[in-house]
Amino acid sequence: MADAVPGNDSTRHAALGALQALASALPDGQVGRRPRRSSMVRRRRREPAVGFAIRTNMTPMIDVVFQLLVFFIATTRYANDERVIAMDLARRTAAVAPAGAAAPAPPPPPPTDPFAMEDEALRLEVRTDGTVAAGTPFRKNFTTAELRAALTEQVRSPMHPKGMFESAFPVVIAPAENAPWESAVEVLDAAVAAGFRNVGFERRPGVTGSAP
Amino acid sequence: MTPLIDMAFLLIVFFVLVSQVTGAEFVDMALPKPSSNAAKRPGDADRIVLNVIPAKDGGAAAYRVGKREFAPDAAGLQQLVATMAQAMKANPGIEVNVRADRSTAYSWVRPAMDAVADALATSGIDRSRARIKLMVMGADSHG
Repeated sequence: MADAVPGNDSTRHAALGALQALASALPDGQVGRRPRRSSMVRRRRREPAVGFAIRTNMTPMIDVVFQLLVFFIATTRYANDERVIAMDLARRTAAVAPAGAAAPAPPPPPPTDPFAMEDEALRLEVRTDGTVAAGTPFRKNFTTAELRAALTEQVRSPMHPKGMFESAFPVVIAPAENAPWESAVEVLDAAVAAGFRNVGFERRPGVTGSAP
Repeated sequence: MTPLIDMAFLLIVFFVLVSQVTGAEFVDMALPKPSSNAAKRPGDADRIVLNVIPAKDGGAAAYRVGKREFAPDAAGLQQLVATMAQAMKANPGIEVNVRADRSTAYSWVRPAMDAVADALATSGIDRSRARIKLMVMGADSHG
């Protein structure tokens, strides 16, 4: 035990020499073999778990998922191009006369006097061919392009200070039964674009529930 | 790999749900396309979408609200009025969007608009606020 006392140089050297001799006496591969063997054991244990049990073949599933994704993206319809035209429900059902009765009407009041025609809506009859028979005060037929120009000119605005209509003047559109919806909407659009704020389709009382 | 599959499935679920809604509300038809830009973009208010489903000869095969179809006869229109009136009572601020094909005769669209007016009358909503919105294509669109 006295040999191991620190500070004694000769005994320390002797111990170091003995250790080195012991290490060199061991066979060369023996020091490294232990860790290598243990890692091999670990790898052998892990390999079947990773290679065969968990890593299933995902490729067909991803193929199908992407097919579905593409299908739904392609078939979804977007209404990006759709616009709305707000339309008043016609409140003036009583004031609207049928087309035949409107012809022998009394002469129109002076068109520059807004008070005289306050109670009478501008009536636009849309025909099957898309032309428009405009009622008092126009009393003539228009194509839709002409109607657009005429209405735009006659709605009073800073651009057209001499127009005969206030923008609140009621406009009633009365399409013929067989007029395509397209021409009816075109006339409505013309009136709205001209600046009328009170535009609606004619509503005949008591016809709900009677589709043709 | 897992995040990729997560994203793909989320996208699929999203598009399935969206196509459910749009398939019910946006029936395939050629909306009228007026030649000016007076029409506005639709807002995001609550709405009833009333489709007039076109038939071949310019008539209407049915009226459709959501996934419910109503025959274009007196009984069907009464049901349509009742259905819309119910929705209007539940949500007084709701608006009605009418979609009809450009070639459909006006006589088939008029009952739909009259039905909206009747539904408003039965649900007791102030008529001065009530508006029908007509769906059209934008003038600059390709439809």
